[in-house]
Amino acid sequence: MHAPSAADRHARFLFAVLLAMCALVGVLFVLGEHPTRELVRDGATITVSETTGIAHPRIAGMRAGGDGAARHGRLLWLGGGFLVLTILLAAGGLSLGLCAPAGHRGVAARSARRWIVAGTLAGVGTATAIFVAYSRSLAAGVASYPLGFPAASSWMVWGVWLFPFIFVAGFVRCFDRSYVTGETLDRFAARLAAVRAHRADPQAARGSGSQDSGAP
Amino acid sequence: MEFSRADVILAAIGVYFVACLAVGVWAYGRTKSASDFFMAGRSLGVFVTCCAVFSSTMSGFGFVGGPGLVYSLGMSSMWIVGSASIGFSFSFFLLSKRLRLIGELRDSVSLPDVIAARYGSEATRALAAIAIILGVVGYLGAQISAMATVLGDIFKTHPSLPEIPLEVSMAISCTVLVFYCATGGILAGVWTDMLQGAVMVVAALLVFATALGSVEGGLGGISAILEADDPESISPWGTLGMVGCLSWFFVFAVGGAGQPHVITKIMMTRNVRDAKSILPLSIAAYGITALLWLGVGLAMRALVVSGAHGPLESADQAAPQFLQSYAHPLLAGLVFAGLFAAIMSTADSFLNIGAAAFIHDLPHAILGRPLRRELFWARIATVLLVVVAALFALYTDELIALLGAFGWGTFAAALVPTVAIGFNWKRATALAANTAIISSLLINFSIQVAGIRLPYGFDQGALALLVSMTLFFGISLLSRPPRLDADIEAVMDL
Repeated sequence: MHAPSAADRHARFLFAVLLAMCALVGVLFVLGEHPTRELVRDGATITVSETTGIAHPRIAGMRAGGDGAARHGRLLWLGGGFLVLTILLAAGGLSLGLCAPAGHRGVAARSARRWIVAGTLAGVGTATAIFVAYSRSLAAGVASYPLGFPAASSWMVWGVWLFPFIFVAGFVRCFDRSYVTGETLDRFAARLAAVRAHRADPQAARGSGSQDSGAP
Repeated sequence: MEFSRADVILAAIGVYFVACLAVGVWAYGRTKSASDFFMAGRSLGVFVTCCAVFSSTMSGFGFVGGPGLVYSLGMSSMWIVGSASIGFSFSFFLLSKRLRLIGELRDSVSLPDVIAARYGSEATRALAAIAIILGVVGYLGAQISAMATVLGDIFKTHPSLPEIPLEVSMAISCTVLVFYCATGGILAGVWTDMLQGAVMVVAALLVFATALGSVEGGLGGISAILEADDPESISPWGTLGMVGCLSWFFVFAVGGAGQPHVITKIMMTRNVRDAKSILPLSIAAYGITALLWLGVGLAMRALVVSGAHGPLESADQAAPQFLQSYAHPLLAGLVFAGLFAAIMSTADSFLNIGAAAFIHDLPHAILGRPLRRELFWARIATVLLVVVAALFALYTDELIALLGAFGWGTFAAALVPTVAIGFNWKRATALAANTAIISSLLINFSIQVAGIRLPYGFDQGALALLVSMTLFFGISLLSRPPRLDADIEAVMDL
């Protein structure tokens, strides 16, 4: 039996992350929504969830959020967990793209992985900052607008948008050494030439030893 | 002689239409085969691919629906915008090498084509083609409907024009779209994307500056007004709430790698090494155009909340009203051209992948061979698809809304595991891919048709993506490793 490849190990990690995310979403279905409001419609009293906001009291067509503590207070752990798992899933996916089954990239591959780890840490840090700042704003209100927004929203707008640039920087910096190397292109060119020869003259290609091309 | 705002807007649209037609004529001479028509002969350079990728992602939804969402829900939709940089990264890390190389190796002309090569399964090809066609009809219908509505509004506001029916607006805009798509195929599509992308970037920058200047204190002033009215609206979750926002982030960050109109562009690059430059440029261009989404939405919400502007009839009026009331006529003209550009760049992409699915992939899956004279049939299919989508848009808007609404989530759930994961993990099986695609269609359709509301506003597309990816990994891990064709295995080992 073959030992699992790097891609297999990544796949197992991603599967574990997905199972954890499923568990968190399952909790949502079990919890029951809060807050809710009683409404009388067609003579019957129905319960309406207010977790996704309420109609704006003055302006038709606009929504309002209502009481933040009431709708988010008991769910912050779940939201934080889901956001961190999403970042881990994305980072695991990026890392899967860098997997080299042939294992011929050594130091360069480790360097690329360091960029992914750095980006992941920055992402988890940003997620933590959003939740900490939001919890504080629920308790004490908003006193200032750093970079144009309340602190939690500033972390969201600028942090979530910008932290993946660490991944991008790693991609650009390590591209030629660990993602598409000269060797990658040489091996592909040889394979492509074999496939084209096979297409042009299947019998001759077989005779020259490129029968493993597998091309249709 | 003095020109009114309506004259300037109409002239800008006219110039834009003429430019699109000219690109169609130019590309006609360079489109000699089905491969040219669907894959641009794998000849796209860095800037063209960058513009094609970001402008087909930032559709009319971004220019009209986006500001409307911010007006209506506050900060909630910023999670969609914020997910773009990680979403583009996800797509390029996972697709820009192996998908691109396998496409070249097998001379694939469509996404289902390359999927069939990877999994060695015509059933997987057929399922992918069906998922694409269902999404394409909805998306295309929605884009055509948006084009007709915007053009109709422009005609309506022009004082010297008579009342023009919606059908006429639709016919004019569809004629331009069909002309350049049928004559020049995806080559015309991506070169008009280049033009469209440039217009969108310039327009978004200028509108963002105008939006910040429309409220005293800029972004901080806007935040203070919204905070005083409803603190949650300017919190990270907006009015939608935390769970809904985070499910959007998940489906847009991870799901971007499953959007066929975007990832087929990655298959068209001249050189696999260009991905290194295309990724950062695409993210930067998308980020700049998203400023319009953020700026106009927040400014209009603050202006209406503070009483400086009357309430809007509908949230989607946020961008048009802002332009009519606060932007310089020249800027308004540029943005309306940019709006058309955003809509058309998405429509032409969908048109091309839809035509490929119809005339290349379904015949392959059913007959086991391609049609003869594929290029001719591709042009016919392009025209027919527009006619069908336009008729749906005119007479069955509920179906269009249904298909359009579930498009992104369906593509994400069906194609992220099948393509983004499957092309980087040799153990992924055809059974797992088929299950992922079927579960995506079933979950999205059943939730949409039955009108089921998920708790805390969790997005249905996110649920479908979560389930399909979990099934995909679970089934593949439990199955025997598949036997891959030697050439496919060799590329996956690169």
